[in-house]
Amino acid sequence: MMNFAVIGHPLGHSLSPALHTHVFHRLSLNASYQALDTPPERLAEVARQLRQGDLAGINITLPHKTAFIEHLDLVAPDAVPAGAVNCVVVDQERLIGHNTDITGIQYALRQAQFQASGSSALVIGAGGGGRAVVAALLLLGAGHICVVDCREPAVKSLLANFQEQAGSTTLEGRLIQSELDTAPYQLLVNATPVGMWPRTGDSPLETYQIHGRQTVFDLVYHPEKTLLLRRAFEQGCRTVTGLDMFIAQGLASLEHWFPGVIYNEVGELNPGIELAALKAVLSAAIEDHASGASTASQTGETT
Amino acid sequence: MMRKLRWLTAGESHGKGLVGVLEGLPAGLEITEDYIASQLARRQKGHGRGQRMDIESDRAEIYSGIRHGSSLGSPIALIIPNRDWANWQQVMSVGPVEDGIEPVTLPRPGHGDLAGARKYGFTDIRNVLERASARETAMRVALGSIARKFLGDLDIEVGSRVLAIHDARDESALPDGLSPEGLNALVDGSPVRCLDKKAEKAMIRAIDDAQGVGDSVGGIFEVIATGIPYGLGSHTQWDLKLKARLGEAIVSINAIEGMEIGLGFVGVERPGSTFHDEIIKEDDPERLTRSTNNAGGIEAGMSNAQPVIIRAVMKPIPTLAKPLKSVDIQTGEPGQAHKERTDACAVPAAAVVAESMVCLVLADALLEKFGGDSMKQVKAHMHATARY
Repeated sequence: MMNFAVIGHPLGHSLSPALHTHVFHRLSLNASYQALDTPPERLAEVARQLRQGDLAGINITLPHKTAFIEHLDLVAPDAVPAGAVNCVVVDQERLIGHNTDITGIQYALRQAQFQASGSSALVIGAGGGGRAVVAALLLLGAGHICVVDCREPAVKSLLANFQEQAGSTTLEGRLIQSELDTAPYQLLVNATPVGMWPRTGDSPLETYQIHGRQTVFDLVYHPEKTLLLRRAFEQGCRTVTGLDMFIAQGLASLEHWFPGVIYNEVGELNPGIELAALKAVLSAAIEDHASGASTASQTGETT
Repeated sequence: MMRKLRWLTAGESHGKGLVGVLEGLPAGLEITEDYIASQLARRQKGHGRGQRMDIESDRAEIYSGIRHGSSLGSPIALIIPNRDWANWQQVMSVGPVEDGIEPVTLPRPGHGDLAGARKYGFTDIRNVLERASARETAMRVALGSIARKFLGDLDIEVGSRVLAIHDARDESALPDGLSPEGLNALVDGSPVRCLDKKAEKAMIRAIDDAQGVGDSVGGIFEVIATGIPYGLGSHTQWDLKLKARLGEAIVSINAIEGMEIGLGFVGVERPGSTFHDEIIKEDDPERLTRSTNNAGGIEAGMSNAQPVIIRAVMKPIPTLAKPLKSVDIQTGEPGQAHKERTDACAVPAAAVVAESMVCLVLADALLEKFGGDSMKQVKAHMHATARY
């Protein structure tokens, strides 16, 4: 039996066990997955459990995505741009940290058939989610990225972090002061908690700011169809949900742990997983939780 | 160009499993499923392929040809069941299926997808890629392990090590007196199967760097075989030459683009006077030896009782994480096949596959020279006539 876990603090409600347990069951993998509320002082112990094989791999969520790096032997280059890891693989006792949030975003955008190369994107929110989105868009070769956030230090720090990697992409930061002109962008991304349950009546953008033919991506997955996404749908936009991203990052973690098992040679998902069934399980888990307590991090990032 | 052994593999990557048949080995060879499994496990190691997981660990089931742990001289059949078959049985169903299976229509550059689809007139590239996948080499290692056991019982050892991955090279010479099995024992503990620890670090870094940006890297490995008597292969005909037989076997491995023997390509820098291996008397008047082994143990297509040394180069595995341009064969539209994570480097595994191929060729050539229906006879024939 291989034991996997997601660590965070406070962990609140986590969808990860439902996702991973579903896949283990469908593929008859002899593995378990649990949510481990892990205060910062216990990170070293988790690292030890990984090296000893008591844990076969972990996902990491807030607030440890950066703090766990000091316990790793290697930060895989996919995690370097964001300076954060959310997935740890044990390779012959070496701990390797990956960032599957970034691959998850890329995958979700690709699934929505969004042509990221050369595109122009507006990213609302300069926190961890916004960083992962910017990293993904840079890898996909976006032409222009504008990040908006009312917190000046967050914007400055994000720009400083990515300026060097931007290459031919123009990267711009803005403080929201007046109404945003969203017309020039092909992709609108909400990387803030605005619209997250229980404040489901909030939206980072008004209907008039959403134009048909744009792709709208909300990292929030609780509720699955946020007000922003409902508005975008009404405007005729393609939408990408936080749940799409959450599933994609989870499957990317699984592919690190079970290489060649989750995807075949041409990137097709193992038919045993049945994406629709997985989505239904997670939607139900979100609904079940609607009456629950915690509001901690319900975005498509690992939780 | 097998003369005494015959062997075939069958099976698709996501089919029911891999099948192998090996015929022509003498009776009385002791072999167990555990021994075969230990060789299969060696193929599954290697940095850049993700860690080996239980679901993946292959185990070959012996179906025929062995009784009470010993070969019968009859065909040996092996099966490696696909543990994930249950999930793919619709997609890879032997019988017709009611629900249409989504075809693969975007050929991947660097694979056999386009040529295979055009050759066979397939509209679903899956029909090519399922067999072209390097998954098949698992059966080669399984069959090769039986040949390895046969050679081992005759004091012939085969080992390998990785010499280069991308731009990271292990320049270290093989330590004197290190047997191929000793070499394997050392390098099997290395994630990149290399001897030099400094080079190992550089190789791991090269793989990590490539994998991180969705790219892949190739490399060079070396296979060494010792304990070989004079005269495996023959100078008398092109297809009997041992180096031709080894060349065919090695180059048949997925993604192998070239092979050299002995000093190989760098030998071009030398004049003939320093290239060739001088013949020296030993204390034993029956034995002659060589000052060097630049010929890599083969002269005029025959083994010359020196260690056989070959090197081969593997191109980077085509990667799908950083896809190249392609055109959909159904719609004619340009597109890019994509996969979030692919292996970044299969060189350590390819070295183990190459060892297995060398074992099969040497076992064949040895049976051709010495013959025998039982291990006892082969040993007696070698004892009587083999010169070293």
